[in-house]
Amino acid sequence: MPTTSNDPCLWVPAYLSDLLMPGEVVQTYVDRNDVALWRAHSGKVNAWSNRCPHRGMRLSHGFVRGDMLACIYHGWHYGSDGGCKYIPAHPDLEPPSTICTDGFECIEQDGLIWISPESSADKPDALPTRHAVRSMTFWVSKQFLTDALVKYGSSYLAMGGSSAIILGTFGVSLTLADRTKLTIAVQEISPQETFLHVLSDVSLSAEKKTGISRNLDRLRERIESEDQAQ
Amino acid sequence: MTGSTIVDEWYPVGMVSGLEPETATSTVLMGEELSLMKETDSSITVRRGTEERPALVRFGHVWTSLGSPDHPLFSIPEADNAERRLVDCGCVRVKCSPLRAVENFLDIAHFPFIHTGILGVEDHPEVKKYDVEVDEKLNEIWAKKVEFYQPQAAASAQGGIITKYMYRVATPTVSILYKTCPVRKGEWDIITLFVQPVAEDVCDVWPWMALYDDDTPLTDLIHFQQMIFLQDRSILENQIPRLLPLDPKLEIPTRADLTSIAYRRWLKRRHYTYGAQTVAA
Amino acid sequence: MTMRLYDYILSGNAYKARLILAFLDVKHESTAVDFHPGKEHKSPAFLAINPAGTLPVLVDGDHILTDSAAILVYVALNHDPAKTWFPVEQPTFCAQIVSWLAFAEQLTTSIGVARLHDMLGRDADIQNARATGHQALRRLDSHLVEQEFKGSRYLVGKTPTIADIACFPYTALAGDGGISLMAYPAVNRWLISIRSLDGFIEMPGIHALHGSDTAPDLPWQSGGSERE
Repeated sequence: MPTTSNDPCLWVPAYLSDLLMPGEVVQTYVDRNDVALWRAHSGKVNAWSNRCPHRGMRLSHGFVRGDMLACIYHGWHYGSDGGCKYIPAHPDLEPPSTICTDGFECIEQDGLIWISPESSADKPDALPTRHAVRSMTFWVSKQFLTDALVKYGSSYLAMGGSSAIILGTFGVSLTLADRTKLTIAVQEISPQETFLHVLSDVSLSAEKKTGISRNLDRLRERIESEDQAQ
Repeated sequence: MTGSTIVDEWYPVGMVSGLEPETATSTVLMGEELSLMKETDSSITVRRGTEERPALVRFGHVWTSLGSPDHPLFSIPEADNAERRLVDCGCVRVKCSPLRAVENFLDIAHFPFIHTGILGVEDHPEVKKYDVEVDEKLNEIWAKKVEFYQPQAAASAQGGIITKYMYRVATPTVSILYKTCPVRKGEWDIITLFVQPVAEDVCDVWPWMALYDDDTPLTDLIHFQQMIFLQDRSILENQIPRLLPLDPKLEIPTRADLTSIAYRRWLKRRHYTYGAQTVAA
Repeated sequence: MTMRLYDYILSGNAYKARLILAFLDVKHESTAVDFHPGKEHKSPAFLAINPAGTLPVLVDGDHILTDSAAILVYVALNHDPAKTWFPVEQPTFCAQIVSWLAFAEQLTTSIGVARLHDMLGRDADIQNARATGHQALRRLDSHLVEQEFKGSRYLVGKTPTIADIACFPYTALAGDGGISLMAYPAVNRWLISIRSLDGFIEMPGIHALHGSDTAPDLPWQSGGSERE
C-alpha cells in the first residue's frame, strides 16, 4: 500500500459531486459530526455543523436561496462564509457577525465532495475516476466493509477484472474486465453504517451503470449477511 | 420564590373523554409507570403500582403529581364560560424535551416558515417589540402585546388579520395562549399546550382549546390544531441537543425570543432541570 | 353531484387522494373524520359508509371507493384528459404503475405503522416496522437510481404518475416514524421532484419548499423595510 505525505484521515469522501444539485441540502456525517452539506446556486459547496446557532435546528432541513442557506425554523439566512445575513423576524437589523455557523473544510475533487473536520492545506490524493455511478449505505462498519470489498469486490463487480486495491483509509479501486476503472469511496456514518460512493473513470451507458448498481445490491446482501453471521 | 420542585408539580397524564369506564389505562410520567382508572362512581384515580397518587380533573384532562403539590392547579377562569366550546385534541408524542415543546409554543417568529399560509407568511415576517414579565405572585410568565399578521389565524378565520396574542407559562410544562377571537370582537380564544414529560427527551403533548366558535364542526377545530402541531413536530424532533440548553451561550436569541429567554431564565431560577441541559455537552 | 372525500389531515393515505385531486384540479367537497382522538372511523355512522372502517373514502354518486389506490386510478381515469397520470394507452407503464401501487402498501405497513406508533402511541413492533421500512426504501432507492440513469426523475416512464403519488406520502413522512432518509440519496432527489410539481400541496410533516435560485434582497442593506 503506497504511503503519501497527506494524512488521509483528514479528508472524508462525503458525496458524489454530480449528484448534489445547485440548491440541494443534505445531511451527512463526518467523524461522527452531524453535517449539513449544501450547494449554492453559484455551484459552491459548503459543509457546516448541522445546527442553526439560533435554536439548534438541523440546517439540513433548510432551504437554499441563491448563495445562502436558510434554516427552516425561523428562516435565518447564512452566506457562504457561514455568517448570518438575514433574520426575517427583524428585517431591518444587520445581524451581528458573532452569529455564525460552524464550518468544515470542503472541496470538490475527482467527482467527490470531500470534507475535513480539521483545517488542512493538503488536498486529497488524485484519483483516476470522476464520473458518478451511485451512493448507497451498507449496515456494517467501515473497516468490515473495506475488508469485504477486497474479499468480494472482484467477484461481484469486476467480472474477471482485477481484485480490489485499498486506497488509504477512504476506499478501494477496481478494474473491470472491460478495463473500466472504478473507485469505491467509503465514509463512516456510524459504527454500524457506512456510505459507499462509486465512481468510474469514463462516462458509462445507462445499461452499464444499471448492471453495476444491481451488482452492488447483490454485494450488499452478501456482505451484510456475512456481518450478521459473525 | 423558587417554585415547587420538579416532582411536586402537577402534570397532565390523560384526557378524561379518552378513558373507558373501569378499564385501566397505562401511561408514563417522568419514567414512572402510572395507571389511570375511571371508577364506577365516575371519579378518576391515578396509581403508581398499588399506591394512589393525587388526581385532579380539570380542563378536559387528568392531572397528577409524583410528589406532594403544595399548591392548587393553575386556573383559567375564562374556560368556565359556558358559551365557549371546549375542544379535546388528543395526544401527540414527540421525541424531544418537554421544555423544547413548550418553548416552541411560545415562539411566533417561525410562523411564516413552518405554518406557511396559515399562521404566517414570508411577506410579513417581522416580530414587533412586545412585553414579557414574570408574575412573582403566581410564579408565572406572561408575554403581552404580541402582534403578528396571520393569513388564516383559526379554523373560523376568513382571510388575513393582525392577530393579538398573550402567552402565559403557568407551569414549566403548561402554556396557555390567549389569541384574538376571529368571530367575537374583544374576546380571546384560549389555546393551551399541556405537556406530559414521559422522559427527559420524550413528551406527550395534549393541546386543548376553549373557543368562541359555534359554527365550525368540532372535527375541523381538532384537525386545525393537529395540523398546526404536526407541522411543529418535525422541527422539535430535529433540534440538537434534544434537551433544552439553559446555558445562554449555547443558543443565540434575538429580540423576538424575549419569551423564550424569560422561560429559560425562569426554569433555571426554579431549578427546573428535567428536560434541560445545564452543562454544555 | 360533487365528489366527497372523507378525509383525515394526518393520514398519509388520505393525502394520496388529496394530492391527485389537487394535481388534476378536481372540484370536490371534504368531510373531516375524527380519526384521532375520536375514533370516528369506527363509529356506526362512518361504518355505514365504509364497513372496513378505513380512511380515505371517496364518494362519487353511487360509487364508494374505500382504497387509496382505487381512488388514484379512478380519479386519474376520469379527470385527466391528457392521460399521463395513469397512461392507459401505454399498457407496459400501466402494469408497472400497478406494481408500485402494491409496493406502496409495503410503505404503509412499515413506515406508516412506525409513524402511528411514534406519533399517536399505537401498539406496534417498532423495530420490525422500521427495519421493513428501510428494506422498502432501499428497493425504492435502487429503482430511482436506475430511473436517473435513464434520465427520469419519476418511478415510471419520464413523467409523474399515480405510482409517484402512491409512494410519496409515507416516504416523505419517514422521519415521523423515526426513520432517517439520509441513506437514500436518490429518494431524496425524487421527493424534491414531486414537491416541485405544479399543483403540489403539503401536509403536516412535509414543509413547503422555500428555496429559490436567487438570494433575497436584504432590507437592512437597502436602508429600511418597505413593508407596511
